[in-house]
Amino acid sequence: MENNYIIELKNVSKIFDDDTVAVDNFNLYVRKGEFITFLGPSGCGKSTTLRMIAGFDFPSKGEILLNGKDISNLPPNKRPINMVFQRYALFSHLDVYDNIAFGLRLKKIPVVKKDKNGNPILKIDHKKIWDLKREYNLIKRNKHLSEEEKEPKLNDLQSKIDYYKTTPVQSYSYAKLSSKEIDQKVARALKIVDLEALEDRDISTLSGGQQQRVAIARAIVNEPEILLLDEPLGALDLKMRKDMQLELKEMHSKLGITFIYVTHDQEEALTMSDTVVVMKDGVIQQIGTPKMIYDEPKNAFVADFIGESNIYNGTMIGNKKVRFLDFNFDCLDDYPLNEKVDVVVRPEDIHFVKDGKEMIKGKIVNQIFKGMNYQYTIMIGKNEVMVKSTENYPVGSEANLTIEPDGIHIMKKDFTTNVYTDAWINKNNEVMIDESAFSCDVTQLVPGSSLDEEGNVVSKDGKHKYNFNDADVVAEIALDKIEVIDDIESENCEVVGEVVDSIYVGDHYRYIVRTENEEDFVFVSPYSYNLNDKVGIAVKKEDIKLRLKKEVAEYEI
Amino acid sequence: MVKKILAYSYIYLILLLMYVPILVLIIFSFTNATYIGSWNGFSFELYAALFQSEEIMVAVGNTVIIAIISAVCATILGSLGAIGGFYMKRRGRAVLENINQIPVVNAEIVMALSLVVMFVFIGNMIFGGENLFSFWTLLVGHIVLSAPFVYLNVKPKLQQMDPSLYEAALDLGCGPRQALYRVVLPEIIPGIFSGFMLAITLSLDDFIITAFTRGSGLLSGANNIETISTLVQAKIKKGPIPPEMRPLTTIIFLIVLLVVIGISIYRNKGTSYKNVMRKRLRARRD
Repeated sequence: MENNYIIELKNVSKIFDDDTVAVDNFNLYVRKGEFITFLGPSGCGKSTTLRMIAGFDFPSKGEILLNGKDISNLPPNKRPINMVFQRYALFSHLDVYDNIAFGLRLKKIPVVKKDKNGNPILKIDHKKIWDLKREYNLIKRNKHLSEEEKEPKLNDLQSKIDYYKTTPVQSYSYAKLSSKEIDQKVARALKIVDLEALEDRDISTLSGGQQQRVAIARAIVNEPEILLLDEPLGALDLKMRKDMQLELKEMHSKLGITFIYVTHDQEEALTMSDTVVVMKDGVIQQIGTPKMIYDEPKNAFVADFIGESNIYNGTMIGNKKVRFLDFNFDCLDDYPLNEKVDVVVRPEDIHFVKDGKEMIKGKIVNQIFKGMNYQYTIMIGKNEVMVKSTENYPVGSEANLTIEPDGIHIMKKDFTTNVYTDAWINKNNEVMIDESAFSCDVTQLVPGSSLDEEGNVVSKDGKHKYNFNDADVVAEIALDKIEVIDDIESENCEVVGEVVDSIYVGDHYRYIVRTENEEDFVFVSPYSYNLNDKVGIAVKKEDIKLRLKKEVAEYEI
Repeated sequence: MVKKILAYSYIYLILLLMYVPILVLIIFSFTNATYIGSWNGFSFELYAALFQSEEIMVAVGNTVIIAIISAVCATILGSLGAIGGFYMKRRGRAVLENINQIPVVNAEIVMALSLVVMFVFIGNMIFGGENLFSFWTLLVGHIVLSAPFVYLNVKPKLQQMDPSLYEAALDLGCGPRQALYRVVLPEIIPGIFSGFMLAITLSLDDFIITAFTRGSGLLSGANNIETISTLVQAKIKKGPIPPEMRPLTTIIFLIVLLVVIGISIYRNKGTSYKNVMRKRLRARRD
């Protein structure tokens, strides 16, 4: 073995039958014994990736290597990998003991067949040939691979098939584990998950937390090389979840096997993992240690998703100087002059200071007691700033704030889409981006839903109704979906702004239009505009992608 | 308090309505009076007459053979259909479900007549005018009657099942077929069992389809196959219900009762046996 990676995913993509791309060109190298977490909003492809590692889905492109061997098309029962399912998937017709022993009872230990003289018996391995043929057909029928990609793989498999057809190999007989061996392993697993007293209980008599433990015991008793966990704590209450997080972490260090964990809970990911993989729309946004991801988020999405953060549009105005919130701050990152950047400031990095020593002044409009500290919302001009502090300041009073250079994180602007993290929905079901209303399709927040006459969103089965008035959302508009209207008096304009930046990229221009309220719209166009031109902007209803900041259930009526 | 009394008396009234007729039947099976209502004193005469009547014994034998064979076939067909349908794509499943629904809501007479027409048609067109009516046509009729009900009994069990159970079985080392036997089947076995019992019941007391599709064979030899229901029907035409039917139905009821009790005893015993083995293993743990 040339490296110490236990599992490698190389250029893995998953394209479903209806041409939706669930995972796009995923590259990941996992070291033995690592605790790795896939983190992202629902539908980001994290579960699909996990299912490909488990073997329930096969990658459309790319390969998965386990200890350097290609397992991309191996069925799940042939992989030394076990999974803890989201809703446990315990067998209700078996009790706790039999659930845990299930995998052990199926386990077959190969024993080399020998003749009377003790020499191994050589035979044509028909099963191996059958397996290879199955894999051959799978690759042959894969419509996502081009002929050139298929050919070397198919040739390789064909030569293997030919080899096994003509060359006899050692044959095996299979022995099962004895009931005593099984019992000892089960007893050990029960001890690890602390369930010794409940081994004879029926599954239906257990609490959620206990079922969770049985599910974990059932997986680890098989001594897998990798344990996969698909949002295993999602169904538990908060207190229980916190306890289980610590216990899982402890179990991980005790067992020493690799854990791959999937969650949408950023706090869970940060608490437990050695490495976090942040995903969005099937694409890896950032891979790093929890600290790296929190302190140095790669883009505005990661910053917004991991922890609470203030995100502003900034402009570099000099060497390690950035302007945002109408103030010139010193910072540690160096970017070219006049570059438009995303500035991320964590709420705990903004400090209250005495009058006169401040960098920026604002007015406290809201205060929430959070137990450990107070969370303030402070208006500076038209910008909202979230600040955390242990000191108590009354609402309505003036706030004097400073930000240290190491609290300012500067990111190159992501120019693939316009992302507006502080958008909200108004009562007409329009999305408000910087004080201007854009008509949008709110039914996308609930898949398959429709609108009724009162403007409420009704779910597909008609059972749930939602009212998204005042809902905080993240709005995204692709660069090429923004229409530019030259006549700023036209009724079609949804917002008017000034061209502040233009770059010629290959065959088209990329412009930034800044509105009066300092919101930027980036768009691409083949036509040329001059700096300081006033233009109108309109976006088609279906081209605004929305994502709720809170759970959808909060808006149910 | 009053509410409680009312609630209980309601339940007991319904139970009474359900079980009093059976009780009356059992009591009157122990007297030899021809007409129900008159009591000629306690005797086992009717039971003796029942077992001596060759006619009835043949009908009972036929009924049981047909019920068991048709129920087994219908259970296999219906369960496989339900499992197959469950793992089908959405559109295929909808079609299958609708096709299955029609025989359930359809009038039995329509099914019986259409079966007759089909058998005659096949006999004429394929077998050159041969009379197909026999045990086999009767069996086909009964399977067609009960398979959709088995499907309907198994389907909800599959829907209640956590869809990741099958994947969990694969994950723990089962092949696809093993996963089906070891996990999916035990999960839906109550549905399959109740489907089987329903199929037996449907076949046992079926008259219309039996009367239309039967031919010669089984214990009836060269005569038309006689089942309990066709026999009773034939007797009623000529006179009152034969008194031997009273002990017969009593016996059927008692058998059903024994089966139900037997199952619950078996279940408890199964777990206690396992517990003994467990305890032995546990004692040896270090």
